Amino acid sequence: MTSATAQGQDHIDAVAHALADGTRRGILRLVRDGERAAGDLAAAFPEMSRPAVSQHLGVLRAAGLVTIRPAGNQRLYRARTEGLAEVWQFIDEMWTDRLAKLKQAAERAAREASS
Amino acid sequence: MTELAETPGETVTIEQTVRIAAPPETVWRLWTEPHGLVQWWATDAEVVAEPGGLFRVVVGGGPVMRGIFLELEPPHRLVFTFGWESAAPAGPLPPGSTRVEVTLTPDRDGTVLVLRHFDLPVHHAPDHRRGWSHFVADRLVAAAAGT
Repeated sequence: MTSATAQGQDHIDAVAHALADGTRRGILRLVRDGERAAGDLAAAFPEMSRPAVSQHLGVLRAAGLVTIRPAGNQRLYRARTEGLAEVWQFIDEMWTDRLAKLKQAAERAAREASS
Repeated sequence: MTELAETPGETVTIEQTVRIAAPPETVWRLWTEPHGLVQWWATDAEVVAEPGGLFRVVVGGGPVMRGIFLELEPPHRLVFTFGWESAAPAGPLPPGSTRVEVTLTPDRDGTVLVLRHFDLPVHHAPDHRRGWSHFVADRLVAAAAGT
């Protein structure tokens, strides 16, 4: 197994973990179409403490699902859709690699059967 | 060759075609028998090759695929559900969430294999990146949460 695949799996795990939480999904909805300041995002979840919201933002950032841009004394968050595209790219590549191996195995078996 | 097609509900289908210089019967065995699967996909495999049967593929160092066979028409067509077992929380493609169809068509002395992976719930290709879909935010992700 290549390190690229291992990284892909780590990333998939990170994305899965990040998405498996209602608050984080809510944050992603808010930042999907444009930048939002951390304070705005915290205000959108009045039932949560601000550090808790910050922690969720950190998880999303670690998974590559949001980007952060400092602006003055604010931090602006935005969805990073490439974060998910990479996950699906992994699936695509998985089939390409696997089907190449399948082809080799089948052709080897066919040669052995005919020899 | 890989093609992507958009389908309703903001899912995508991956389609790949490969020509193999071996008869469909040979390719079929590589999909449906554990000792065949370990030659190209698995380090270990559990296969109950009947509708409703378990299809579990352990990939060394990678994800564990777990599915259920839906349709088997040897040696021409195979349909199974496809998902990944994963450390908690479940992966973004939990078992049962997507579907794979493999067709094997005789072509002279070989086989044309077409694989379609349906229901991948995201815009996928670079030119589709705008689609941070509600589907992802709601359904896929709810599935990832184990609901």
